Amino acid sequence: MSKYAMLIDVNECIGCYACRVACQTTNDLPSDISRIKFMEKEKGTFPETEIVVLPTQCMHCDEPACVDVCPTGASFKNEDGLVLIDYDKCIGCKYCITACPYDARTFNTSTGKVDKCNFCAPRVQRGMQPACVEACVNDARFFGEVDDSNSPISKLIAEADTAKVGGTSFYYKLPEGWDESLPEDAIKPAYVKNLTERVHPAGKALLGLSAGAVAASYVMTRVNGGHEDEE
Amino acid sequence: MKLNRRTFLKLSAATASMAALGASKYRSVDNWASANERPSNITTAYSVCNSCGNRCGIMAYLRNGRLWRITGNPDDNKSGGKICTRGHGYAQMVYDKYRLSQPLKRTSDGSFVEIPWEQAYQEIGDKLMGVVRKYGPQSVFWSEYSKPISNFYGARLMAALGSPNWTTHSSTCFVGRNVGFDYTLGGLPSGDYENTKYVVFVGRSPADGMGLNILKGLGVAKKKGAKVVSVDPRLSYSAGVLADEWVAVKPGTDLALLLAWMNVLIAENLYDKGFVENYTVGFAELKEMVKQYTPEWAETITGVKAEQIRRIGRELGANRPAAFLEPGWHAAYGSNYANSTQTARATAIVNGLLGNINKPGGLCFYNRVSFGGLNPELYPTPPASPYERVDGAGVKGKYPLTLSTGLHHLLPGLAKEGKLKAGIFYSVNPGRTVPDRNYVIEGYKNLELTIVIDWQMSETAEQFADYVLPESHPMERDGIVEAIASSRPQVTMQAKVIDPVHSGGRGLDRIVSELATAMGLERFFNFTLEDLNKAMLFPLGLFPVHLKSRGIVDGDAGQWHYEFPVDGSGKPSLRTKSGKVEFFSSSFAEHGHNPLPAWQAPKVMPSGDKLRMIHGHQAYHTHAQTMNNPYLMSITKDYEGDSIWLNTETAKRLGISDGDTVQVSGNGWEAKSKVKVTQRIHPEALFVPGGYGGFAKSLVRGYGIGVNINDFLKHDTEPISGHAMMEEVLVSVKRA
Amino acid sequence: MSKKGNVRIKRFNLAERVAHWSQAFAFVVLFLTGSALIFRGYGALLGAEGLRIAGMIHRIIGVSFPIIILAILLLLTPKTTKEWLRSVFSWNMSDIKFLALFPKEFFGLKVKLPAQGKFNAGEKINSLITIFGSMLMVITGWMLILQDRFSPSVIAWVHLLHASGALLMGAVIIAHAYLALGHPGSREAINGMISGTVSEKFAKEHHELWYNEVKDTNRVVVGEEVQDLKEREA
Ligand code: HEM
Ligand code: HEM
Ligand code: SF4
Repeated sequence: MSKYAMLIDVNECIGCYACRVACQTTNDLPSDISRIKFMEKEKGTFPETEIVVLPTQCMHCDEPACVDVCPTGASFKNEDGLVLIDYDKCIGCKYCITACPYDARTFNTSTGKVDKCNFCAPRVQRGMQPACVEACVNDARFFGEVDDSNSPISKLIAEADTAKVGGTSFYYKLPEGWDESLPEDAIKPAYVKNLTERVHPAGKALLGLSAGAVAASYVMTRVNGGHEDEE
Repeated sequence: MKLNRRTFLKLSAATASMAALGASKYRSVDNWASANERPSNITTAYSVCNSCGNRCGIMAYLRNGRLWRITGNPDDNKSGGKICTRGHGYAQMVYDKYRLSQPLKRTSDGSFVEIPWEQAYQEIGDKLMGVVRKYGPQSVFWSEYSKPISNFYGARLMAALGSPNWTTHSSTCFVGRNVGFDYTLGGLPSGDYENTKYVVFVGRSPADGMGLNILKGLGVAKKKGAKVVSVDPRLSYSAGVLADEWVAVKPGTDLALLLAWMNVLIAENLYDKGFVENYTVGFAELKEMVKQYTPEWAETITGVKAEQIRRIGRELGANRPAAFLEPGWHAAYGSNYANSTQTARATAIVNGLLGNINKPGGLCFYNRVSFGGLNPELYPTPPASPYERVDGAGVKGKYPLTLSTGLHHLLPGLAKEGKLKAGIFYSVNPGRTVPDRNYVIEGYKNLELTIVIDWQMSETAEQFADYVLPESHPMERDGIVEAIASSRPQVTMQAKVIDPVHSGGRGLDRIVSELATAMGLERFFNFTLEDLNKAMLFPLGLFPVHLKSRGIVDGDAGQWHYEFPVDGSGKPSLRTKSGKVEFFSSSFAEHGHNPLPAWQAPKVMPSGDKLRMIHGHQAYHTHAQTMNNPYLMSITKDYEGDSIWLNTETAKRLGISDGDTVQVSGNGWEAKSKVKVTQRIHPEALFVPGGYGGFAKSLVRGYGIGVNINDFLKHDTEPISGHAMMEEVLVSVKRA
Repeated sequence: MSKKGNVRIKRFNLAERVAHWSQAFAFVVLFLTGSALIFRGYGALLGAEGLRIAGMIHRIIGVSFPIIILAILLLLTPKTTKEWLRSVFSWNMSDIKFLALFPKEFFGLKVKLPAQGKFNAGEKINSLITIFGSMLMVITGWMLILQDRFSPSVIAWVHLLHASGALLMGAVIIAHAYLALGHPGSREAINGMISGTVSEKFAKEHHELWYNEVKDTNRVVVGEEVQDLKEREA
């Protein structure tokens, strides 16, 4: 199955929010919930000032932290790279909101579930572009299959000024001198490791130990003069 | 007029793949059920976006008959298949709970009660006729935010009543630019963005004020190596993202910059001599005048380094004729400064020196679509009013050079003087968008009859309307056929997309016709909108149904040629007096204005801690109109879009830091606001994002959010084109 | 050998017992509803709807019970609560010795434990874990309910603490409940939490210091009182 990726050319992003509203309407989101966030940075002093607007959304991580912490399996990684939420399984526990290194998830109070960009999977499945890509008024957004080296997005990715957000399905083109504003690689937050690899196993072991001791005691007290309490 | 093949193919391909796929590729995906473009319940319809004056072609997607989402119509030559933030949000307002649904009448205690349409027509008709009989038809006016439907119906209603006072919002928007260009180039040309090599925006920001056609054109040009320069006191998103270079001009001094460019072009022989010789008048006078305006001189006025001015002047000359100064809109020369009209003229003149008129990559007067009209034998045209416009637009001794769209910011004063007695406001909100709140409200309160027609409440409706008539949302009704200007003009129309959500609302065509009928003027309105559209389309061999099914069709305006306009005998035929580019304007001279755009300072100048309050668009709002839009307002809330901007140095001097709440005061007005401290703005300026500062309680989402520039302004008028002066204001700011 | 079966020593008053069982009930419900998010197999068994209901129950109990329990302990039986607190915070060498030897006792090996007060060292530890653990769970629980007001990095810690607390307390409570219900040496203790009294023998053997203190004041005679008294005096 082909793997999908998105690329945002920050040189062209004018921070207009058209993608945000197009996404909201396409995905029936309430007006105050957005799947896309915008980070604006400026540097230099007047009149030598420069700006960039950096839109972020779910990066569709290769090893998504959100999937790791999801207790119900509602968040899952599809084989084509899309990280999706199965709303039938989402219970709104918000663990994924905490885990996501990109602040890509929001709680939708009207559904009681967590929301995030799904690369418009329903559209992608039909060969259409995600709504944000379709809506971008300055052609700053690109989406496509990366394992086809002839696809437009593969060609863009191959260009020298394209940077990949490590461990994700996201690429950016940044203006000269703005490399540092590239979102950091998708390193699993320490929290996710601590929870899934330390606290949970250790706690479960402790519970097991306790139960084991109880069982052992039960047997042993009955073997070694367990009549003590009989009156 | 070929069938819209691209869209057709796209749709059928999508349909086929939908049918073929059947089962979902993804495990129970997300909101699968709702975000599904299932062929069975999704339909599409074409229309035109009403969110701003650009009027881009749209494609509406309906799900089970309910408007779901919109996209740009890919056939639209101008917008190129895109729709901006505001358009996406605006369309959704059709379902908003704050829409008006019944005619309202103000009661004696100041509140509104709902009344039936028949009663509204009867009462309004009687009162309006009463005013006409008592004070004469010239005491009645129409005021609108310019739209095709009201351009026709509003003007016709005024003519039917005998009133000369059909008015648009132009005097607080673009009239200075139009007058400047009209008397220099004979009209407003379009930039040939795709083919340009060098373009300078003076004040205008297509990335904030949203010119989708410009974004599209620049995209093409930049790929071919074109350079974009933005002259702006603020690093707008155009200056910061689209442009290669930012010219951080001191606000209100653009004229000096333009004069210096003329100076460079002439002094260094970079102008187009052949063009100047054949197609311009007044070069000698111009040359003489601009001698003094060296880049060094301009540096002292504008704060822009002489080298930068000179270099850009040279680059303009080197790239001509595929180089132009964009005709702009509001900022530097629409209606902001005492020198705005002359600044517009200067912009047009620089273009003349570049000889770029109707050249590839220059400024072009494209062919126009020739629409038909109603047959006057069947549908009598109301005679033009015998009276002079009360606001003095086009009137000798007053504002003879300005546009026939009038000077709406003068109307409140005229109402106070008793010269105006009744007014109809269509989709316009002067209570909020015209300078000087007290002047406007107190003035308009003198009217004996005030009618507001809109689909939502407004400050105007709340403050001084006697009747509020609910218009249906543009998604619910047809509009008038219109042209999309480009080298290949197209024809389109706003078409009804969904059945009315509220049975109470009506289209303007119907409201005006029915009101006219109630006043016994039905003879001038004995046709339907459909009849009108048919008549307009007749010469093109089209019917409204074609536009509805295809969205956009070619306008058959003839092949476009890059040639200077000439008449039958080969004489230059720009729409100026001489038919040529008028460096020297005898019309200006005739009416006592400087025939050459000599340097003229703005009326007020910042000094010390007095800053100039400037304003501008955000890409996600259309003036005050979108302040109750939940989608767009939530952007404001998420990103504190209502903050005013202060330069970092200035803020430091005043002890203000980013995110502080500050008190802004000027001209006797005070308001509090959050502040964004930034290097993106001139140290002498305080930027206020446009449209905020709502005080209509019924527009709950925008009520009390942000600051309204108009509150800080005093009523004032520039003498040439008669526009308001919306940046001639100094304010002081301190921590609240 | 006298039969002391009917002489009982009052151990917990009604308020204490109600408080304890409220605590026990709340904890068990909170553990069962909360841990469905940790044990995925169990969570899957409940299904999304079940988990949503579990989450709701978890919140209702988590918010209401701590208040009820605190109210009982502080308003209805402040004196014993104070005593309990004083006792669980006072530690000495014999407590340490008790803890060192207790594992043997736990597994049924013969061992002479040092004499204990009302609460033995194990119970003190249980009490401390309950007190501080519950505080931790209530604070972190509330933060989870109000998580929109905190930054994700704070909530990350809160999750770790809440889960750690739950699992640790769970482990302790398994042993605690077993000692009260299943362990032959201490099974009698359950009566203290049900009827409020324990047998004189149990009191003397397990909490000798306390027994000596209260053997007269807390003495309750059930049934054949006279006989028992006579025997004692004889
Ligand atoms: C579910 C079954 C439980 C049973 C059968 C049980 C039984 C008992 C008994 C018999 C006592 C009295 C021990 C004595 O005589 O000193 C006791 C005390 C106590 N219980 Fe529980 N309990 C249970 C659950 C819990 C839970 C869930 C907690 C707290 C989370 C708890 C906290 C305490 C505390 C703090 C004491 C006082 C100190 C102590 O004696 O250990 N119990 N429990
Ligand atoms: C002392 C007994 C408690 C136990 C054993 C317990 C156990 C748990 C466990 C195992 C989890 C899932 C893992 C985690 O998020 O760390 C959890 C989650 C949670 N607990 Fe508790 N908890 C207790 C008390 C409370 C209290 C007092 C509150 C509230 C005041 C509370 C509120 C929550 C909330 C809001 C969650 C998030 C899970 C969700 O959204 O469904 N808990 N609890
Ligand atoms: S960006 Fe966040 S939500 Fe998206 S896959 Fe990565 S962790 Fe999950």
